[in-house]
Amino acid sequence: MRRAFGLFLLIGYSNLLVDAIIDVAWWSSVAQLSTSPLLASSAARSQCTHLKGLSPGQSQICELFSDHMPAVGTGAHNAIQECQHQFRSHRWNCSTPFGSGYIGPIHQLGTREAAFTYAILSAGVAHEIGKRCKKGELSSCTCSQEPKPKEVEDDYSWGGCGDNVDYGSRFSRDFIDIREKEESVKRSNDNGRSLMNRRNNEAGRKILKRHTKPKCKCHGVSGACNLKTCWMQLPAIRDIGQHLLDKYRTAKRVQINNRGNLQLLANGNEYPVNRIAGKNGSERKARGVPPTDLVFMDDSPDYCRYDRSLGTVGTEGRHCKRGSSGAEGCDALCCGRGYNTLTLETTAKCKCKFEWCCKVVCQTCVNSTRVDICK
Amino acid sequence: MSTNSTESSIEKVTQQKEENDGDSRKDGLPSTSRPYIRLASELRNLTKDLGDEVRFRCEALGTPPLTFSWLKNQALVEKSRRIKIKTRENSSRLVIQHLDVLDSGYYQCVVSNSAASVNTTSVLRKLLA
Repeated sequence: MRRAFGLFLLIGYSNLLVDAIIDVAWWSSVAQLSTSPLLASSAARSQCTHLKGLSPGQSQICELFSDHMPAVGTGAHNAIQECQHQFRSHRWNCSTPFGSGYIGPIHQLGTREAAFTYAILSAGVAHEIGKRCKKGELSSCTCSQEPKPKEVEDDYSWGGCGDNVDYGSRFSRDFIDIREKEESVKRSNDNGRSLMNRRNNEAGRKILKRHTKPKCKCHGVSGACNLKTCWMQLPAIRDIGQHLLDKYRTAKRVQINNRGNLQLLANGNEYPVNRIAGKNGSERKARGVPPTDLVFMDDSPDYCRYDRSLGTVGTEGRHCKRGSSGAEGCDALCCGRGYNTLTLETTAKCKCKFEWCCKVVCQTCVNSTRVDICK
Repeated sequence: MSTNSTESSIEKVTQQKEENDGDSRKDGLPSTSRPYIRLASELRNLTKDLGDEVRFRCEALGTPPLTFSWLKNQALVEKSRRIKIKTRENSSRLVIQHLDVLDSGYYQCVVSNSAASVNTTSVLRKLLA
């Protein structure tokens, strides 16, 4: 707590932001591991002390599993990139507030955008760990130990070295969810947000697991399929991004009840949410929301304007599509503020001809493209 | 594992005894006035094999009632079929069976009463196959 608290003082953000700042700080600092060869190459224990924003428990896991940390970093980095890809034409585009010094979005509220972010981050980390287990890059895991699934036909042999989604998910759960459970990092007065985060973390990993499938390959001379081998293959991170975007669209609103559990709010009726850990740490099975659904507690802001206290960037300066009625259309994206049209001129070589002998002669063409930018 | 306490634990206990001299009698029993608490021994670091069983025992002396809790990497240990916690008046035991790689971690016993809260930590190192 001391370190996280020190970081908070250093940044000097308002009290309101402290929880969100701590969250973005961890994924920001681990994501930088993936692009920093210095940190990524050293398995030194000391790297954990360089990782700002880790909770005390995360620092301890970092120390004991230091060889996992570059994978956690790459996983978080890939997740943020995928989030930015999926939301590239939305008002909220998963970007980092300018000048914050972080990588990745900040979520002060428990919105559906926060739900997506937490889900893809935990899936991204599980994905990268599972992949590296298969490659033999981590000391404490190997290829997938899963038995041959029923859908693999009998004449296919099982036992190709597979992605270890099980280990990846379990490590992701240990490392990421711990900050929602630590005594010293308890969110100020906000047990509901912790449960929401854990629920969405788990949904991300469950979706990853669900789409991890057997992949088969034929071996044999010139295309003959004499030998057929199958193994477990993780989905591409793009697939996970798309599935989670669907879940984002159908995310369920929940609230915390007086027993300290999350409850689904639907049509004025309250249904208990399936398998949410209660105060006593036990898991309750109940009808309700499938565990792969995303849940949120707060309405999303409109994301139109820069708001430091919410961590929103606003849409000023964003490229929009004139005449489009979708989210990327100028009307929606610019929030009715209108847009400026710029003409960009680019010069390029064109109409090239071959002349005897031996040269290529080109003309210089000026291409002008029109760009609409939100005011 | 805590029955033979390490050198450091003895030091700590003596230190605490000195601090508590005003509060406790020579026989170690509580004085009638001020509440007190101290650990009877410290947890030791461990390395185990996969599939083994590990037992942590945490014992404390102090004004009742004593509250024991177990943390793994700063978060409360969740009980399961594999992970059991048994707490008595002055001691608590954490038992983890069929050790898995991801069981390695910082295990902390926290004991508290009206006087204070004391703790001791053991690092269960990466388990070897």
